[in-house]
Amino acid sequence: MKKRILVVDDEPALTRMVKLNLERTGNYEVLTENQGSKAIQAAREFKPDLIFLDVMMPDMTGDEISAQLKEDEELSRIKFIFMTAIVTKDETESMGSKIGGNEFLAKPVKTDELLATIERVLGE
Amino acid sequence: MRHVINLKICLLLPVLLVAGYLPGLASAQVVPLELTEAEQRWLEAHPIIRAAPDPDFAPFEWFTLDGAYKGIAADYLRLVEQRLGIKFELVHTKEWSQVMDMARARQVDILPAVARSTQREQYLLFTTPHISAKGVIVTGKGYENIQELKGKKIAVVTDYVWDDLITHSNFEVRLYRVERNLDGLELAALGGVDAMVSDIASVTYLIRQHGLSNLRIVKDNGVDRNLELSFGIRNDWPELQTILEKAVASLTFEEREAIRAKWLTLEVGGFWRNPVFWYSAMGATVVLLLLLAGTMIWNRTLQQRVELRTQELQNANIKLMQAEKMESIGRLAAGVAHEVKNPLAIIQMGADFLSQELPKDETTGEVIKDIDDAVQRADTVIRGLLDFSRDKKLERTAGSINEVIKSSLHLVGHEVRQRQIDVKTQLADNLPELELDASKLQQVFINLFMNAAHAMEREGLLQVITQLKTLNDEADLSRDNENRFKQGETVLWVEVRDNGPGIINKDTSKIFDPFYTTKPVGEGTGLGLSVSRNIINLHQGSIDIRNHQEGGASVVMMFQLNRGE
Repeated sequence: MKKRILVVDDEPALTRMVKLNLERTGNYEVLTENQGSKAIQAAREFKPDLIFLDVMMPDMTGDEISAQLKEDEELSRIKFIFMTAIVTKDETESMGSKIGGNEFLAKPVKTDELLATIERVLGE
Repeated sequence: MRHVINLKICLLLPVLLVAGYLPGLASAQVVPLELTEAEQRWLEAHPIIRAAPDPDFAPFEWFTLDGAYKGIAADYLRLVEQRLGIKFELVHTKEWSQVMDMARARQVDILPAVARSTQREQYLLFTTPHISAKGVIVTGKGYENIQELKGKKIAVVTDYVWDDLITHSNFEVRLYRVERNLDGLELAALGGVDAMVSDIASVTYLIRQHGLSNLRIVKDNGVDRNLELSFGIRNDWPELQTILEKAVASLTFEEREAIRAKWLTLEVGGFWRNPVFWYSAMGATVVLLLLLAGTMIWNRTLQQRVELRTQELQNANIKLMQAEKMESIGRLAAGVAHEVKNPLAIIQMGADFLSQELPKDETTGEVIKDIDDAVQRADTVIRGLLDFSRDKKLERTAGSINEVIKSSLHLVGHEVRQRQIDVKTQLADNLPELELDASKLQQVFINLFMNAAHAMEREGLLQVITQLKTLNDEADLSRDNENRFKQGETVLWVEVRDNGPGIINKDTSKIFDPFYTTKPVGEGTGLGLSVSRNIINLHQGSIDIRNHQEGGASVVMMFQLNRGE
């Protein structure tokens, strides 16, 4: 059974690229969402195994979204991979403490690396 | 004790000088002025009486530069004017000889202060002397008594009473005649003559006026003559002689004393010979010198404090400016990163997708590879900018610098092997642990190793040395280009050396500036060393890069040892 991945980023072209590359493998079913505020509703409906989440979005930040999802018992099992354009160790660690052990990727990320990360996170 | 004796003599002299002369004065202090009718009529008949003083005979009489008549004789003349209720008409002349000529020609009527002489009696009448000054011998050579002056050169003023006195005595000296008292005193002071004979009033007055401080009066001088000055009256006016005689006699002791005090008190004791004066002067000088020294030291201290404070302010200001600069660069970098990295991510994943979809021929592979490389290049620049602009906060834990170096070498292993670079490490095993941020320092070492690898191209030698080093040599100290460490301080010394061409551009001062690079376009951001220095500085360390004397570049970093804090 294909794993479900929700990709949330305010950049439509990027979510499309991620979707294309992930679905090309035949292993994943991908839903994209370009508004942070709609991500939670999308997660409730789509019930993904993993959410691929941009940290900085105009209407809602990635960590706000993950925090809300963790409050929902049904959704709290969802794994996260964060992606950001502004990389620092500080950001990584503050994210890490909220997310708890999930991965953090810096844009631009190569597809091979992305796929490897997804497999690792889903395998945990 | 000699000083005390001198003092007493000096105190006594002026008392004797003027007041002491007139016999019986104390018992007949007031002699009422009683003019006869004939005398009063005579005065009425002669409303104008011309008086001719010596224009230059201080302190007895002289004219000041603005024409005022001053001195002992001048005060006597004024008292006489008061007694008689008349006013004399003063005649101004240039010199004493002119006065004498006018007296002879009866162009003047009286002289307020003139010494009696046989020659002058031919045309002048004299009152009883009202001014008297003791004769003294003055020397600059320390003679104590007159016997010592036998055969010596003695100055006198030509035709003064002293000239006559010595000429007609059996005192065996060589006379040296001068025109004025001052001339003789100056000669005595300079050693041109051995002594001078004159009156004490002139001598003390001139010594004071002209600062002839090395002269002193010979104690046992044996001069028993006084200088005595009277009113001189034209000899065809005998009535005036008696009138002036009465007037002078009517002057009280207090009046005479007042004049004495006015003109001669300052000479009492000869302050320049008074030990109290000298002790006070020396004391005052010492105090002044101490004050001066104190002021200079205080000034210097103040100056140093001002310099130090200025330096501190400048440093603070520079840091503030750097902080502001970093803040604006940080905002710019974050904005650029966000706007550029998203498109880069799209390009990267787009290329990844196409590389799978397109036919796998050589050209397609190259195009995809070029896109990949371009994205990586752009990403490296942005990441460098972000790194550079970050307000670096270290995550410091106790760690081994050797371990950081080993892991960094491991990470650049691929690059090093590819370029066939030989790596030699010489890592001391006695190094204490440092409070360090391993990942940040790793960034520094990777940067340095990559720089070296790029500089050496192929078959290079990369050396990494760590050791404890005590900074004694000037050469070692000079590597601490930020003056963080003191001479004699022991530091953890890390050197990274290559055998490449070294720093080609001699301007090593710019090497740490952001965006300064010598690499071809696309191979370096110019941010690596700038970021590296920031990181080393955050570890309270210093970093210096220069060409090694045996060729190649040498990077030296120094770290402070933990001081058990």
